[in-house]
Amino acid sequence: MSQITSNQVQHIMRLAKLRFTPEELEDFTVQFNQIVAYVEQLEQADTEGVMPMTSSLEELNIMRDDVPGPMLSAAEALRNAPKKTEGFFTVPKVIGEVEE
Amino acid sequence: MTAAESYSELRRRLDAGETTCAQIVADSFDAIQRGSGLNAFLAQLPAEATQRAAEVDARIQAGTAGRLAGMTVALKDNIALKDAQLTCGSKILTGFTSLYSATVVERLQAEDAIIIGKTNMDEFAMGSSNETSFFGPVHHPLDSARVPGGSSGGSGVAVAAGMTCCALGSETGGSVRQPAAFLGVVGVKPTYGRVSRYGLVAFASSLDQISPFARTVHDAALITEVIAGHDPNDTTSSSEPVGSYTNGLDEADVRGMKIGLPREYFIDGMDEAVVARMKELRERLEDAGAEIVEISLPHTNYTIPCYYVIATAEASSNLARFDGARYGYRSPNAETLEEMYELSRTEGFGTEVKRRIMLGTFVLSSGFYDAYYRKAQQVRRLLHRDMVEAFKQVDLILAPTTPTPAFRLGEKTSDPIAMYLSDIFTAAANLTGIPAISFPIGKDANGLPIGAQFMAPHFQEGRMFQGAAWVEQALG
Repeated sequence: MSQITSNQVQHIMRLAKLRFTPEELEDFTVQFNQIVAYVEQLEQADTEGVMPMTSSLEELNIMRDDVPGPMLSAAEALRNAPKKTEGFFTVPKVIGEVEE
Repeated sequence: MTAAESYSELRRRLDAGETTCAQIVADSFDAIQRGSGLNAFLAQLPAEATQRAAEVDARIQAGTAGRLAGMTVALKDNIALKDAQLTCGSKILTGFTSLYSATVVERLQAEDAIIIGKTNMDEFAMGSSNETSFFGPVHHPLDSARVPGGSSGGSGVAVAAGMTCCALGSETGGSVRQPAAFLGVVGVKPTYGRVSRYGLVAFASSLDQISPFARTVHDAALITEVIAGHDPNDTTSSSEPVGSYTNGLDEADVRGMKIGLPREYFIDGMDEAVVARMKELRERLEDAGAEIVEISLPHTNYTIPCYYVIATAEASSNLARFDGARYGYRSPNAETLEEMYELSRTEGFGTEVKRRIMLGTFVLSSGFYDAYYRKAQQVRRLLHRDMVEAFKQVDLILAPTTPTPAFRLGEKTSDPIAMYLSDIFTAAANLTGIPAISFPIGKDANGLPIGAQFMAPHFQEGRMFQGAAWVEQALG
């Protein structure tokens, strides 16, 4: 059984673009280990030669005809934007903000 | 009063001129008002519903009304209705309004159903008790100290408490059948691909399926029939023709039907009333000429671990879209782009959603992918094989929907695994894609409802409606 360290949890946290306080991180590491230990039961299943199953549906990628349908206007697409300028989404400055 | 009737009865009275859609809608909002302490609704649409009722009344008069004329329907707040809110029970989507309606909503409206509001739910449908909603828990109508089940708790309560005729929820691991069982109503999980997911906010795309609640099996069959069918806007929407699910339900019979009882679904620690009601049901079925066959679904123990790996993996990917850039909550504290992502997500998501995003990110991360995610997908195929084998021997599978009746608020919130286990009997249908229906089979000593479910082979919804309709008539 693998033991997940708080450092590993921090790594996952960064991948998931989330932040935890040190206390949250500590609680979370304990709980995370319990959940991971629980799902590790799967190791006991004999899956030798079994094809992974990504969907229960036998038909896959049922495509529609490539004909333009109704579309959103730019104004509609921007309707829920937290911040917008002249038909664009506005975000904080990107260049010069390199993080590790 | 009228809100508590079945749609079949309501429609008879509408066509006979004994009531109107306007009256039905007014009664519906009265019931919502009386039950406001249950916290079932996140948004009510009285103006839209009233206007719509007048239009449908005119069509009834003219004899041109659709199949669901006057049926009030509440939508779980993860199903899009154009220009209405779509919060998913989350802070991160507060203020968002839908740009289009889900395909199921368009189909309901085309048959003259009346949408009355959006219902409370576990945040992003992640929960089994409706306690993870940013907008507070939903309460059980029979005991406000108990949970209604989840994640579609608001929709379930709206139907159980007579606030609406039917409601739509969504299932990923049992989020309609489990609350249906706790609340004493009917809950249907259609075959994966049977009902379009267009306009349903994605949680785990290979499992999610829009799923209705109703007070009778007939109403459930009718609404399923209307929302089912191919949709070009969903590449996982099946082209399999939709049967008539309501046909012959009044004369439903189980004589000669082979019904499998999986031994793995009768476990230690199950509530004694659940065991007793299941035993009574089994005897009734045998008396009526059904053949009860004990079967085995040997990989059942892996259901919940398999479910939590696959569902969280897909969720971590689906919920990456909530980044504060294009819609939803953006942290006012962010000064850089990276901070916008991290702070918006950290401040916008609740604890359970973060827990699942973390688990999903972990099982998909480099070095762990094969051991967890790939393994779970292999186990998923074993679960699927179990079902395929079982259906070579039997027509339907019968099992309890949940191991216990509704539990108490707060009882499982500090123990994620205990909470996850409340989906133990439901998640296999989602993982394997088969349809299932939960229906009431009686109560426990405290008067809390108990539910059982029939599971059927892929696209054999008709068969399970027949079985459930027979049980409903037999148990009265």
